[in-house]
Amino acid sequence: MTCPEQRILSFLAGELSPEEERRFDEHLLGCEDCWRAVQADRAARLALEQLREPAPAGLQGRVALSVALAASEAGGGPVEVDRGRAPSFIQRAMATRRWHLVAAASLLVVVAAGSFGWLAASRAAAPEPAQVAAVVAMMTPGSAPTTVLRAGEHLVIGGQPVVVRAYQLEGTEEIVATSARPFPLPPTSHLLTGSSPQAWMATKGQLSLYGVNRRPGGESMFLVSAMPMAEMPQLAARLDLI
Amino acid sequence: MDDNGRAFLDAALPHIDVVYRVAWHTSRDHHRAEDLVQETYLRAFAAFAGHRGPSTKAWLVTICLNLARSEGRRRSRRVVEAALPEAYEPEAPNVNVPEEALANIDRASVSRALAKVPEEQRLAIVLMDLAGHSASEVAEILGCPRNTVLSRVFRGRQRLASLLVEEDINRDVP
Repeated sequence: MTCPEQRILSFLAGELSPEEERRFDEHLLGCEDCWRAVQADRAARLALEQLREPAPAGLQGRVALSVALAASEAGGGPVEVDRGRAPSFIQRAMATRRWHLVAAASLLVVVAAGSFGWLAASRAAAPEPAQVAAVVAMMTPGSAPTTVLRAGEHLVIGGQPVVVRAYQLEGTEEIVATSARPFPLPPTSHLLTGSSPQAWMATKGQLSLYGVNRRPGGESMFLVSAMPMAEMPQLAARLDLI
Repeated sequence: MDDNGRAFLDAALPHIDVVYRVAWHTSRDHHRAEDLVQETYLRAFAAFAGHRGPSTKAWLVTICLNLARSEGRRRSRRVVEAALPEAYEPEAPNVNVPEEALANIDRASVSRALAKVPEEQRLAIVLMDLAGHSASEVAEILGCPRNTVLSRVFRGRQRLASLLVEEDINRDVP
């Protein structure tokens, strides 16, 4: 381009006086370089509008939770879920108190057919830790039940003592695994930076996983549900898991 | 959560889309971008009591960029292989860029083309065109004169338009 760049910058920024703008319009009619440059600028701006996308669903909840955890640490108080910011299903539950805890000795957890045998055979191929895979298998439909475990029963999965409990919220089942040792993290998990104790999230197919690892001696846990990931931290909070 | 936490979220969460866009276009990885956004908010929350400076959006974006730069420096210490610098062509595109030629170009193509724009220009474009900052705000965030911002944005858009035409031509090649 042979014309001064400053003039076209001022034109595009809308900073020319009306008289200067009129002269530049006339100039555009005879200057191929400037005409192309203005056209290219407009085309690029239009194309860029496609990239003005929103943040992924769930990120706001994750950020809000991490700030709540940080605030809790700073203030020494418990983590509270802000009703105004909680997802709609939490708000409904908080309003109606229709949470049904179907856990401990009363609920039978049906374990999918041969799931632990399958795990042993395919652990090398399965990227997730055996503890996680076993609990996810409990939530996976299509497996014929051969083993029935009572919720709250103590298991040893992947060499780790684990207690499994099931909860039900308005027809949706959640399974919680707890242990006195931290759970190994699935390779696809995300750590919630800044959280203490360490929280993590992962997905497995249609299922969402949310966990909190404490130091040995404290109780670590992870929660598996078909709920959207964005709602998992609040769900864990409502179940008094964090 | 205490009042300070609530006040922070009320002030900062409305800008999460913008912070995410900046994080994504500086990291070009969804997982890293989400981590970057979370870290940005935690840093901002820690400093919220003393926040008196620019607008909350500009403040969050500045924190995000500083974190991205720090992460970039850490990565550059680890990574041995270096990318060759992009050839820079400051001239106007050699071809006409009619809007109709780019009307059907998809989002992924635009994103791919933007990634090829030289970094300084890309950053100015991201802050102005994707984050919605004014040239003066971008100048404050980047610590450079306003006219430099306008020049970078202009040259970056020229480069982007050329790249989009290439994308469009390549898309038509069987």
